[in-house]
Amino acid sequence: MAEFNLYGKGIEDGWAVEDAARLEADTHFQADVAIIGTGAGGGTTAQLLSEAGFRVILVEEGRLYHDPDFTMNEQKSYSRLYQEGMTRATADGGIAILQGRCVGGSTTVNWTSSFRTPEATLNHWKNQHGIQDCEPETLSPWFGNRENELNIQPWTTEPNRNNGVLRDGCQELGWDWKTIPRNVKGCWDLGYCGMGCPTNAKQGTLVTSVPASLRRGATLVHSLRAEKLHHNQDRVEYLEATALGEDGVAPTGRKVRIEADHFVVAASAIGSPGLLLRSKVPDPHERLGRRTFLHPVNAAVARMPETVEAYYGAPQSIYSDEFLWRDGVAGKPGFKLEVPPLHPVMAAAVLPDHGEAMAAQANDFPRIQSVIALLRDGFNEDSQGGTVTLRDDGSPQLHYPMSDSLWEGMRESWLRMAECQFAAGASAVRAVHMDSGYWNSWKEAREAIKELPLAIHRARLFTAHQMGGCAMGEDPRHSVVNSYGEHHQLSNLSVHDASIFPTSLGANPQLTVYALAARNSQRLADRLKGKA
Amino acid sequence: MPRENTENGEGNADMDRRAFLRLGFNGGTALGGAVAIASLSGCSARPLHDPRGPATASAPDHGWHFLTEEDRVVLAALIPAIIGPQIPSDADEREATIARTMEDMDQALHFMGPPNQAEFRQLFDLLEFTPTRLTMARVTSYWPNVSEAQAEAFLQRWRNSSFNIFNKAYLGLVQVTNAAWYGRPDHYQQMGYPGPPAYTYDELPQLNRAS
Repeated sequence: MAEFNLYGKGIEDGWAVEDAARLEADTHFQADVAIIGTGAGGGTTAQLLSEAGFRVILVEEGRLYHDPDFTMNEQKSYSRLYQEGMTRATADGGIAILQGRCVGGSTTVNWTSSFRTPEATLNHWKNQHGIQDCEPETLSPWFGNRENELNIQPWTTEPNRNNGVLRDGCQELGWDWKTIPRNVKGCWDLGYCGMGCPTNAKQGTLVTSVPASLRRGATLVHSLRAEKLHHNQDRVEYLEATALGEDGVAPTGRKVRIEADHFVVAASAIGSPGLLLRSKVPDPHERLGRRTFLHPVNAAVARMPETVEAYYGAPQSIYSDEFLWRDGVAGKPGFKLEVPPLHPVMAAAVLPDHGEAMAAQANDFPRIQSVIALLRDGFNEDSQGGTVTLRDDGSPQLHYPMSDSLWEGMRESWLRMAECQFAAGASAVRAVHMDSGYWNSWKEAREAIKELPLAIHRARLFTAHQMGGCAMGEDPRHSVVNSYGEHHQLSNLSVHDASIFPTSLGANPQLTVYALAARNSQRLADRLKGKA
Repeated sequence: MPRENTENGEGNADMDRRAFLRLGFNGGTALGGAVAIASLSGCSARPLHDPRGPATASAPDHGWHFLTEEDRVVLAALIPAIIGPQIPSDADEREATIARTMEDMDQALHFMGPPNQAEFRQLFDLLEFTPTRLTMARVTSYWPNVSEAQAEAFLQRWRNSSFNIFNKAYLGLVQVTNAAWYGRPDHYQQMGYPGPPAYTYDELPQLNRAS
């Protein structure tokens, strides 16, 4: 049975949860370890360090929203739970960036897919990027540890029709498909993961590691933007932070200073480089914010003869890796096939149109099915990722050029998605591209896709996975932190999020972040105790 | 240090407008003359009204965050063309629905934060400043007089333009409008979407409270 109002009850029981919007004066906090970010990396770190006996403070720029707020309303959720009100995009606007901004970070709004890092990726990291202790067998206990902790298991309920189409198409064509492991406990199969789980079934950090930390006496300060890490010689001295109002947007004018023995940055592949750039931390080889990866996503939409109702049921339960490694690890970018949930706002944003065309699209909505392809970026010479820079106001911005090999991958994936949807019985298929109409046969689609212009703002591109920008590695000329997330230049600074990945993964990233954060936090706890 | 107060930053807005135009045209196109006029025109394209004040009879009491009276005049012309056949035919109902849509758009724009707002401000300035309205949007009437057919033609031009920046501007306008429109529970049925499963209204305490 679902447990409701977890935070309401916890706060009554004495959890130290501070809403920075309500601070009436500049404030000062002190802790053993200050953690910036409460997503997969920050939440996990807070739990392990709290359990190891350290006084932990968690800083979150977004606000605390929890089950009483999760009413399955797209407008409210997207505005409040996502970065930039869900309008974050790359600097040229070419790729829409879906990223959480709330307690729990993206784990509060993700679609629960939980994959171990592909072995090919870990081997590539070891061989090409010199990462230590990242062999599949070395990390396996950490994956197992987090899978147990977060109840990660392949989904056993019958997939919804949206996922069923992907399965049926793959089956028909003889392609690989499997069931997705999900981090849920007592899931109601509703389909609203992206708006905040209304039943607390999703085992994101909001209901797991953050409450576990609070029970151990950790302090959570939300609505607080980490502005700058002040450092001297090889040490961070304190964090300067800005309180944001109850809208989560406008600063209240209150400043917060946080002192700690150690600082862990886990503010995402855009936020972490942003904070370190604002802080002007030593970066002698200009690696900060470089090689940021996105798993760029394109999509195809099918009109099915049957009702699909892509808005109901576990959003992602089937995937196909048929094309992920086809040309070799460092060859042409391969892609993972999954499906997205579609609710009215999401659907209207994915396929923007107007007038008669938009009305016709709305009319088809219950029969609409969609497949997405997530391209594996950062593995070949042509795919060097993007760069995070600071806007004039200090906020981070990602510049991400689409490389030739990624565009080729896009065209290839539109072909395969359309082929799969027709194989599953689609009446018509279109690419999620401004110049695509509906095609009535696989043959027609195949010819048309070859002609689609490969250009941003024509192709509709997305990302829900931001990685890199504070790459790990043993050589400071090519990395920001070492293989365990420890900053090369500042001795009491670690980075524990997806920004440390030297490439993308080829799989949804949350479990990799959980496992590496747990492993690196254990090491940090041992190190801090050794020093004590 | 982030500076949030972009609404009063006339100098910044002016610089941003130039950056916007440069980004789109690199100076060397047939529209170069218009670019020069717009970029030299300074703050004359800035709305003169307090953006928070009530503006139109259709939405008298709402405290606006971002949309100015001029913006709302533009949107009043564009929303019916974007929403198309789903717009109510009854005049009163139509006006009320458009007003509510603008309020929801205003909310969404608020939560987008200052950098996105700066881009939308440039876009609205471009649409409202007569020389750029004529040369870039190629809308020849003042917005209050723009017919649905003219609005539709404008949207098609920007949707299908070979200038990337117009595609981007089209997407921005259409997405914010559609999100506000189709995100309203009373418009769910226009997409055949029944809303969250009926039983959750009995089973979930947060929905019980909401009802």
